[in-house]
Amino acid sequence: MRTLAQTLALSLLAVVLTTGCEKKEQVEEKNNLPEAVETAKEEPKVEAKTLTIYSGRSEKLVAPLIENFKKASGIEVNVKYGKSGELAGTLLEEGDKSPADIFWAQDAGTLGVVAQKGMLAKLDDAALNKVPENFRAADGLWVGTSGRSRVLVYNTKNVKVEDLPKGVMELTDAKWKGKVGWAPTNASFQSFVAAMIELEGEEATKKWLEGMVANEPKVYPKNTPAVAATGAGEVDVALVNHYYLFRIKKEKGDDFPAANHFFKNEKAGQLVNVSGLSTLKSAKNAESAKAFVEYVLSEDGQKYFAQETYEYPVISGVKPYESLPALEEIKPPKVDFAKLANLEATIKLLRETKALK
Amino acid sequence: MSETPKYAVKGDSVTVQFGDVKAVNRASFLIEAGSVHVLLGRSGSGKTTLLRAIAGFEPLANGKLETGGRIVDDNTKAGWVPPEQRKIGFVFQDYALFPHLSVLENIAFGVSGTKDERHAVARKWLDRIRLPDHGARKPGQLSGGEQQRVALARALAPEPSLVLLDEPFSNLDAHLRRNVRDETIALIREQNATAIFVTHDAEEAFSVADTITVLHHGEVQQIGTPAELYLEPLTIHVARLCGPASFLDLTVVDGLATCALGEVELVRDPEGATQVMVRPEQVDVVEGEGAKVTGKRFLGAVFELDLELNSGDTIQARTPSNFKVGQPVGVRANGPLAPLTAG
Amino acid sequence: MLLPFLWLLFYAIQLFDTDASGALFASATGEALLNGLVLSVAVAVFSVALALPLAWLTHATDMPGRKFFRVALNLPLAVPSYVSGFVVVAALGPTGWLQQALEPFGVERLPEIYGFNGAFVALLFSFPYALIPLQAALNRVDPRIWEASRSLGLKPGQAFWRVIFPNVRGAIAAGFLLVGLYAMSDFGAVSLMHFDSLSYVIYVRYQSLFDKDEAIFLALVLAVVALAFLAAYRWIRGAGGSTHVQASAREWPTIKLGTYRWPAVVFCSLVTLLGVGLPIFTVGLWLFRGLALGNTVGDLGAETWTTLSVGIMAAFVTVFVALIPALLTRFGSARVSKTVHVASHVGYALPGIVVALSLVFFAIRYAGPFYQTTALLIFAYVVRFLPLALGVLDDALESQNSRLYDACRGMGRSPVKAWATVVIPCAASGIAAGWLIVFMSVVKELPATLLLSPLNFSTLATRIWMLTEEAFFTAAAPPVLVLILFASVALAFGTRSESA
Repeated sequence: MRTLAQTLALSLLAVVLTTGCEKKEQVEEKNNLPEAVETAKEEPKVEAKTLTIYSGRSEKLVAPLIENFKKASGIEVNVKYGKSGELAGTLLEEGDKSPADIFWAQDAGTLGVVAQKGMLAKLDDAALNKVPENFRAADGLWVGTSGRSRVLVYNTKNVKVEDLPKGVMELTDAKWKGKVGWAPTNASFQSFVAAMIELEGEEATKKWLEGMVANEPKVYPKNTPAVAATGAGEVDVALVNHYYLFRIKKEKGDDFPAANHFFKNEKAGQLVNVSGLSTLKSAKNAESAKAFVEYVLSEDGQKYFAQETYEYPVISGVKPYESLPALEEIKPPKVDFAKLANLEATIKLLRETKALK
Repeated sequence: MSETPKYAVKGDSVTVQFGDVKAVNRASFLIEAGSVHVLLGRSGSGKTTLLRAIAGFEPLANGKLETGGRIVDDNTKAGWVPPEQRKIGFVFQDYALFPHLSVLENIAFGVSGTKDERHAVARKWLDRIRLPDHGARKPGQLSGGEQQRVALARALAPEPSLVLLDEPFSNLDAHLRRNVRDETIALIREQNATAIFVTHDAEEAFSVADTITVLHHGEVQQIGTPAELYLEPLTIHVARLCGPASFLDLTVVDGLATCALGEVELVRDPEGATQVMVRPEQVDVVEGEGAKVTGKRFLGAVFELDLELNSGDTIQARTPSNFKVGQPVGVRANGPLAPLTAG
Repeated sequence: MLLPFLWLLFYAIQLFDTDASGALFASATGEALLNGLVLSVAVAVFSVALALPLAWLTHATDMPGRKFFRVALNLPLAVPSYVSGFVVVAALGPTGWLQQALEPFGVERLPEIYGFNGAFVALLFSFPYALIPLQAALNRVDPRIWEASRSLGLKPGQAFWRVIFPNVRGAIAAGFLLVGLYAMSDFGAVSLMHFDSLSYVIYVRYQSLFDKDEAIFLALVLAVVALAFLAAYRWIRGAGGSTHVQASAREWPTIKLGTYRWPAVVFCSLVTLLGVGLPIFTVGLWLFRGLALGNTVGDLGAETWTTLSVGIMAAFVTVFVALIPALLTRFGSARVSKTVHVASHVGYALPGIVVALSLVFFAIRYAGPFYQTTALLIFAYVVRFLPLALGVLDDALESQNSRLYDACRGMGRSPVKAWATVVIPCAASGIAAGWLIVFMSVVKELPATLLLSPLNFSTLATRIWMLTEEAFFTAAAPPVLVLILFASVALAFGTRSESA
């Protein structure tokens, strides 16, 4: 039996090593495109165009869109999926040797870090101009692709609609003690705090955070468990992004006892975060990358986000998911994401107030 | 415990069962105190299982076991005495020395008393087994013969009245085996302990045993002294197990027993036996007629001949005379033969 | 093996005079370190305490169903920590199933499981890291030494502690080390249970890239902790030299439990139910509820094949590499092998993300052609999981009689041939255990797989993570079940080759 296992292993070794290498060669070959900046090597022109994406957005969410792009453009797309922060870390380690053409991040913050290191190329104005100013970087290094509104998800069994707070500031009230869930390590939450600092000032934010911590909120590692815990009645309300509720309802059934509450007439509480696309300076397939950005910002691309991921589209003319209030209704605050991207002050404040360890 | 029981071990219809298989089946036996007894049988005969039952490693499915006059297993839960309370020494085939302990600690393991006392006893044993300088070593650093001696010392050091040895010499090579065997018996006799050996080797059994129990398929076939087993086996299996033997058809008419060797004396009443066993040295070979030499081997003191009798039977015989192959010879039994039932 | 450590040092030196180095001395760091140590020591001690009776019952007794339990008890290892966390919350959360079951009795809410308790329970799923080495070790213990000690007057309990325990001490030490370091470096469980252990703090720092610098110093602290664990390992293992165990001719089991059989079965069943039954039930619930709502699960063919082939191969390569220092310890230069030992454990104690990023750094600069190939990924697995194989193999080879090797040389075999034909086959049960443990770890590994894999590459683990991350629980269920299935098959094979 042992020899059988050995034979099996050796043959596997052979197979995987060869396929692994082949794949690599393929990629390299395809990288030597006519569009590439350097054409020093006198390679014969390869017909197929390729594109390499590092995606911090989940495969389940964006793979169908990328598939549509492939079909529409004929470009061969290679993707590496991962966590936004870790992929950004990878890019920083790779430096200008990175095989990536595009970095697609879940949040503006990680894009900001890569931008700071000077690794991103400025995007086409044509693409940038399709998107409202508050959904893209002022310096044009990245552009928002879809939006996620901050909401207060609440347990419909335990909380009456009329008892819900009007604004996020009310959550420091003693009546919410032990009843609020949040995810302070979550990038969207941190952007929201950054926005609060930007809009209300550091002092007010600090006071709010202290009030929250004094109210002993339940800490969740990310949005999904926070929403699940709200439905389970572990907490009455939780500060999350709007679209997780739709996903969980799809998993657990429409009778899942939770609903989204959108804050009104408030500043940071109704922040709409964006995920964003950027192209790398070291990109070897700049043309393909440009085509991809265009496609994501096209009507088709944006409709996909609205219908399939329940996110807010970022170009005018595409409507959000049926039950969602329109962006105009939420009136998200206008903040400079480039400023939000610099989270250093935010994290410092979160630490200071013990909201973050 | 005041009077020394006459029997060290008494088995009464002992049965050990593994699932549906009866490894030992209704074995009854008595083993005299102070004697060396051997359980002899082929592999799978149940001899090791019986030994393990005596030690308390296998409980009885049926029957009763006594050691030193005390019932240790009556096939009930309550009546079962665990091995640690039986005060029995056990020597394993592969010795089963504790690999994490030194030789000295191994020997001292079962001895009671303070550490110093136990070590003193163990050192005495190291001298006895002629390994006085090996106390600090680990068992892995000893040779096979040395390990065997340590295993024996470990079993004997607590001074058990009964020592069980499971093929203790089978892992030793031939010339070493005889020495170790003699030493072992000497040490056991010195202790006045009763010993039960398990072996599949009849020659070994004969050289150490006062009495022998032959087991076959879990059943006792015969109990007796080595000479009894050799010359007066009760079954063909015992006859074969105990040494080279030829078998001839037997007819008994009016108390007169005849076989291909002519008229013969029997060691006991034939009681419907159909064959006699002939050991090679039970046949005298002389000049004459009646058989033909078909093969010859020189064994040193004697020749061993293959003979074809006129009846067509073949037998083996040992004789000091040098006959030629193909030569016609005369044969006759030189003593009483053992009658056996065929099958 | 030292690459991740060198990488950390490289940055640490650059950053030494910045604020980040202050993290080393911050009181919060001390607190997190203490939390992490208490947690991982508690998990390790409890795991060993759990593994010891389980291994004994399934190996040495006539407990009904012991062969089944020998496999089933190890299955919790197949449940990734990012899944077991969900399971623990679902079952033991304040309003989880346990509470629902107790509701008729007036229990409205259970005490908080977040924090230490929750992290402890979620990490206990790693107890097979202690069980596997122990099973392999017991398999090599000659059952007759148990009988010998009984006939020399020891009661069962005494016999266990005086004869069996000392002979599996090396394996207990290995198990303690593996579970301890796992608990120290894992952040799937601690982040879901938000317990502020050192690894959680590092994780938080890495998440917000801005604190990466501090994370580097904290990871260095973790590396030092690994050395402390290694010292504890050597202490438990004992200074005693090689204790060889003879190849046992007779098989366990020998001990008849009598009326204790049923409590033993109940105990093993309970552990199995909690460790495997609960995850399967939770995940099964995701699946059925989701399917009833019309969700789809998607095709898993490619992921299954990738996971299986990479897992099998990585486990073979790792075991092969692990044989080198293990053999060096046994038959040659002890110092070289000790160095490898220490170095590899540092790699194991570091969070996966640190290992992965360090290899990104080195590979893209010095091994460009290998960057983003399966070969590099397998190399990463070797760096991460070598100690898993090392501990088990060391123990297996150390307990082997060196005469075997000498005998083989004496019969005219070259050293290499002697190893290949005698030493290694005789350590088969240890090698199988090492292989298994690495295989199980590779197939659920996440950070290195995500960052170092070739493009367009996905495994069951990356799929499970990606789907649970975005709350696609229905679709996440099948890959979890496939992982558990893999584990069952591998374990069933492993235990068969051990008894062969």
